Amino acid sequence: MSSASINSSAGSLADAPAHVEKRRGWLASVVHHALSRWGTRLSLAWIGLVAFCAVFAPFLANSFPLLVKIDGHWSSPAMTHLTAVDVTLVIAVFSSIVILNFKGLSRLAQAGIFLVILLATLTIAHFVIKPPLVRGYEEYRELKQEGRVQAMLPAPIPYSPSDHLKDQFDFTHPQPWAPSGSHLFGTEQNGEDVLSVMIYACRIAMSIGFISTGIAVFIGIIVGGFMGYFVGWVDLLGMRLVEVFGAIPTIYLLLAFCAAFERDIYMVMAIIGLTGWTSDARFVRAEFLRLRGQDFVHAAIAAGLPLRSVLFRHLLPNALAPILVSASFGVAAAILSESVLSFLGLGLPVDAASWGRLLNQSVGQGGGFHLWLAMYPGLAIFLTVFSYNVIGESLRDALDPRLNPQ
Amino acid sequence: MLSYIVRRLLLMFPTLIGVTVIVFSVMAFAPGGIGAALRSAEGNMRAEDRKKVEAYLNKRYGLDKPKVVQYFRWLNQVSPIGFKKDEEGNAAGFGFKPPDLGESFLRRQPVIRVIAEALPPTLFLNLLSIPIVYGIAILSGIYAARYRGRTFDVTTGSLFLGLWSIPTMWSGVMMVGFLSSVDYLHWFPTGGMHDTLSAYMRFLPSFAADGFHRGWLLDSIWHLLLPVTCLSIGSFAFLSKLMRSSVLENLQADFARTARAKGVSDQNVLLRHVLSNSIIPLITVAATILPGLLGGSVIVESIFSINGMGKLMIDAIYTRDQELVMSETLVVGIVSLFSLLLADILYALADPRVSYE
Amino acid sequence: MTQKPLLQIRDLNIAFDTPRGQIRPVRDVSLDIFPGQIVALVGESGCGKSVTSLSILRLIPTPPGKVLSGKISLESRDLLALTEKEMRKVRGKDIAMIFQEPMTSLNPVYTIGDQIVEAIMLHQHVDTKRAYEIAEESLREVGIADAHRRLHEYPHQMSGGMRQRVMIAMALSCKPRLLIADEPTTALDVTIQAQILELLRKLQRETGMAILLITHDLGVVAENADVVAVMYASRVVEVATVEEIFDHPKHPYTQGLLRSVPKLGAPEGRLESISGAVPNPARFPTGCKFHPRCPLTRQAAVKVPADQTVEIKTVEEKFRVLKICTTMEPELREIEQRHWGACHLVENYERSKVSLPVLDHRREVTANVVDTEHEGSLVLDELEQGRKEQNS
Repeated sequence: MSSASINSSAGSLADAPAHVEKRRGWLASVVHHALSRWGTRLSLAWIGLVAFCAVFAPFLANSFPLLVKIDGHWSSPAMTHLTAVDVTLVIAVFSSIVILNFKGLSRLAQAGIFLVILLATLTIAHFVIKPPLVRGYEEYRELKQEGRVQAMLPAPIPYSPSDHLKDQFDFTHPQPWAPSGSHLFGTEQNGEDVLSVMIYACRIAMSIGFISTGIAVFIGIIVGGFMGYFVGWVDLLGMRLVEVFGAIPTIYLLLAFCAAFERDIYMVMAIIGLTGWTSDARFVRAEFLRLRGQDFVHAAIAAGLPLRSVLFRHLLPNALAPILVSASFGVAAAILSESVLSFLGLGLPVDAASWGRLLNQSVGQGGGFHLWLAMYPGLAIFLTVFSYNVIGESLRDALDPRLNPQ
Repeated sequence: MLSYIVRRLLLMFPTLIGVTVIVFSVMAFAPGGIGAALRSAEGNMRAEDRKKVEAYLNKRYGLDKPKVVQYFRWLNQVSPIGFKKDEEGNAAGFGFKPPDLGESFLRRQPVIRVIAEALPPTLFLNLLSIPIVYGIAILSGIYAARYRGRTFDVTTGSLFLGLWSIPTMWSGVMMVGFLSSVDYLHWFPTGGMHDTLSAYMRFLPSFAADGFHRGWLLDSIWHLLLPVTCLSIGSFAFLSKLMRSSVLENLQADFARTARAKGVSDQNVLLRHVLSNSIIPLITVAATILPGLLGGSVIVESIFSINGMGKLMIDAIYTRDQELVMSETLVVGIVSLFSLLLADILYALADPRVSYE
Repeated sequence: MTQKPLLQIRDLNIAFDTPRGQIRPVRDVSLDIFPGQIVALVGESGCGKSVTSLSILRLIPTPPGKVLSGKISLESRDLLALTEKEMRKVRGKDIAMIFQEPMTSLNPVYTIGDQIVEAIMLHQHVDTKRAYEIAEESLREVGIADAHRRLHEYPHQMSGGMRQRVMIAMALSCKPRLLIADEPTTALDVTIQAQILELLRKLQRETGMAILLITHDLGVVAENADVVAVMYASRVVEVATVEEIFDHPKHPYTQGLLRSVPKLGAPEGRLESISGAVPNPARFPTGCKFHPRCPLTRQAAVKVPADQTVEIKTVEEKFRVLKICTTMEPELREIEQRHWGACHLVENYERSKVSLPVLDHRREVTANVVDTEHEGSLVLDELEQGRKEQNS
């Protein structure tokens, strides 16, 4: 026991980078361990499905047919109506698959190339792609009725999320319509197809989850790192800040922000990120404080390595595993927060495709209950949140030395 | 012990100031600055009302002054200790005074009165949920630890994680939809905490010539069952898992072995030695549970139409009643801080290792 | 030899189920403890001595552990046959136990007094008031000054040595006939170690109880034990009186252990150690479990024809050992009068008979035993230390 600790402190300078290398392998083993559970795999499968829907939404649900032959001419109205975001998403997915197959590159280089491609595509697409401003959703349905369409390949769900089905308006059956053959999940109050809205809502769920958690983790690492590095009054001040943000219930803070700022998806992302960083900051701080006290850090500092480089270059990677866990729970919480805001009719623009907004309509003003509007979007929120929680949980279990002695 | 409480109270002070800074910043750095939301409702206002709002905001915040001055002016008004003012608004000494949380223009009454009405239902809802959540979590945690790896342990483990992931609004909407809606079962009332006639009810249920009267108590339970279930349902998972792992840890602890070696029965080792040690971490995490519960009641209140802080907040946002929104965030922050203080004191009571000095 | 043994362990076999298969931490262990005797069970960590001691009180967690066979009797009662309820009356009353880690062995949320009183109330029919008096009395007996005030203190307010004294007070509060001390001083400072052992010896003399002292510290053994049993790889490999063990160790493992203890006045040079490591219970070698580390068998293997030897390769070296050491596990035989050993290469092993190691022996009180007169000042020293620990 004592000889082991002597060894570790004596050879610590040489050990420190090696130690980090070993821990990285350990991080990989943690991920591997978590993935060995079938619950985790199922969760990943569901998140994969949501991500797929998010990226390929215009090809899955669209009022414009994918291919159509009118008066002898083939065209693809779906393609011409793609927005810059649609195009960027698809290109991003394919480029990431290609990049991941370049084995020679390091992860960092891969991420860099991916980011460059992403930004480039976004910029170019923004200038090049100009979808028609006026969208006549009923155009092709009318053409078909008139018999001018010779052949047509519609999208699997032939309704866009903002298609209010004005051409099919029927006073005898006021909306929302219950699920039927043409609308598998029914429609909501304004006539939008629920399944279509749900597919497009995957975009908001995924992006809010990742971006706001990214913001939260970023702030958390910075604040927590500062607290753990400077200690003293910085730590004291930082902890008060953590306490302040921790004390006000998140949802009240969110609501207060929403009341003061305009409805905007980016604003919602920023707000959720701004209110959710405290746990990450606590983690990083605790990890820094714990590691600061250890022999090999003392030895490294005694050997002349600055504390800054020891902490940020060598120790931060060690804190990554718990941050990964908290990020996983963070994504779940962010998605939940967004759907709560949408459910309350706040935050996102009123016409944004969101699961929470659909859920909001399930209990009508007249006291009626529309099961399909509660069931499907609620299930989607639940499954997504559950999946991220399961992943976070199994990562945490994999990290817990008490559960798997090695 | 007393000095410990005093010290904790003093430590709370900067946090409280921090809460006010955040609330004020949200208000001041919003597009359009202070009062923007209030003034944007002007469209529906008559000219004299608009003037009143302008004058009110100017007097309360000093809109022409820098933000820091505006903050201190506002802080002075909302705090119960500060510079007093006489009728004409001139300074009249320093000391205790009634806090002025502003004026709700839409409700045409002081915010403090509105909040005083909304706070009790919310607190009541939460105070009902906390023992339920802790009770279930502690019992199931012990049971799961004792029969580790058996069916109960495995089922509750995943069941609670599932329950935790259920969005409160989904469970709320489904409950209201299935159990309360006239279209389906209609077993429960759709909203409120009491029947409109509850004031005239007797306390206990009774039978009379004209049939069964449920009485005030049953009526309350009948109304509160769904909201409380809805509020508590997601909170077991975390606590139960924590309890389980801490019981497991303490069952293998050296002091448990010592107790067994003394001749204490397994039952008593668990009840007397393990349990008292396992509760401690549960008290410390109250810091994360309590704000969560308070937040959850926003959704529950809005679904079940309970006129508490949450519903008030949402109504205030819809009607752009800025002073109400801000003051309410402040009050909820303070309530939450005080409950954390309470948890801290409980922790110090439960664990003798926490020093009072 | 007229006295009957207080505790008799006969052919005890214990198994633990682990995810990697069954391990056998205790195999065919037999041991006798006579009233008033201090028996030391010596061995490296992981050799099974703690499991043996826990099994006497039936404190082995089952599952994963279980007693495969054997008998443990306290006078005439078979402890393994008792019901759990009857066993609880033995624990703490007839047999008490103190543990290695005084820092964690006391419950942090109860006062010292409450914890001692709990033991008293369980085994003696007294009211709470009387129980507190007994507790105070026993605290005083273990040399704790200001016992009345200390009763109401929590474990974290005390130093390690103090807590171990409390553990002893708790163990002795019901006047047990046998005290099992599982490495009672390992976790303590050296100066406090001596005080605790001295205290145990003093209490043993006063009460006449027997002590089973589990330790890996040969210095502790030399100063305290009457009889020594050496364990290696789940088995007892040598039993003799303390004088015999130190003057004429027979088993190569015991000899190795003794050589690895530094001695005052010994010629300069490197301290010897036993090569190799304690074998993993999941992968014991065949035959004699000590043969991969044994110097005797290597020396002997040089002198005999190659067909009687086996080559062993390890990462570091290559050597030959006697074939018999790798195929047959030696049993515990009485190789000399009142001296048992389990090694093929010990003189007389072939001719000796297998017998149970029953040894009713008390040591002569020798001069090298520290006298107890300085106790008062030592207690004061410890108080000082306790205060320092609290302050830091």
